[in-house]
Amino acid sequence: MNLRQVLTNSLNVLMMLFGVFMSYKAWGLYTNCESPLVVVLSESMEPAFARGDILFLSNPKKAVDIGEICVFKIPGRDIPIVHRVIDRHDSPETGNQMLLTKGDNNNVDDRGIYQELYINRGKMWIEPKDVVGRVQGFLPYLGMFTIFMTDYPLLKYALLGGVGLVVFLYE
Amino acid sequence: MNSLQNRANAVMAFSISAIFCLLGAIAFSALIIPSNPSGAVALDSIKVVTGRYDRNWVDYKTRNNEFANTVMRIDADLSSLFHWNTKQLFVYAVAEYSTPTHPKNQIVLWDTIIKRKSVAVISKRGLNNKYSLIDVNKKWTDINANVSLHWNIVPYVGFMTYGHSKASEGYAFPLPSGIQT
Repeated sequence: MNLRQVLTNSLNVLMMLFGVFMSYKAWGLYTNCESPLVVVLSESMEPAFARGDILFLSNPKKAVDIGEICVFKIPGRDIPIVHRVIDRHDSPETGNQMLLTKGDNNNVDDRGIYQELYINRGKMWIEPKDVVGRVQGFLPYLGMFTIFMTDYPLLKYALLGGVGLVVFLYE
Repeated sequence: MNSLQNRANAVMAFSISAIFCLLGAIAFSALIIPSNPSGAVALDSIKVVTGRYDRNWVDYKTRNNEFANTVMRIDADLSSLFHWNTKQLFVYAVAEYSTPTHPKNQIVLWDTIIKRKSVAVISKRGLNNKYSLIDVNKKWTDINANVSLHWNIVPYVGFMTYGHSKASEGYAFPLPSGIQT
């Protein structure tokens, strides 16, 4: 093991990481979506989506259609929600819509979630500006990796340690 | 050169590429498998009643919101939508109408999840709407709505696809004839 080898390896690892990061961001630009991949965390869309499934999102310019599955953020809440649109009312002003969502596995619509925070009292609908993406594709199970890593931080450090070992030991 | 590490690496890389190629082939095949789904919704009766939605929800807190109660008839044969990449169908009946303030409105009246081909033929009579049929203006006077059956195919892996039946004739809403209890 010499310094030159370690530097070359670090460069390769960095190239790989930045390559992945850049492709992800480019894909985000193409789909008009800040995070075009999301991992399902809850059971509210069972049996369509289970915890740990990966969803591919995009955010086309066209109006949100009835029955589409949207990922939306409620003001003041950090975690986005993935639910299906069950009501849609389009205003004449272009682009503005009143949307009501509901999880396939929930018994009631999402108005209780919209109004959970005091700042959102009286919020009956979500609008296209709350929608951060619309589900276009589906890949099961693979998101369990990220769930495991958030649940067991040791795993994350083990992975980082593995990458570090590659840098120092690979020839 | 042919160390254990190299061989393991090659085997891993090859199997991962092979799995993803296979998943891609399955995902794209679902788009070209032919199908001939059919479906129709009809309304046997519409009754409009006034009532209160929920006093906690500010928009609808008064007692004179108009709710439409419908009796639906649904006939559909969606079995041809089941192929090797169909995990489930989400089937929903939609009422569509326009009002002077909102040119396009769609409300889901009823929905169901179908997980097996053997139960993909639907024939239902006397269905009431599962979700409230109330407009944002809370009035149904002079509004004509048509109904249609929509479906969303959720795949095991791949693309979410949607389809719908032809819209029915337009139904006019009657004047309010009662109070919702």
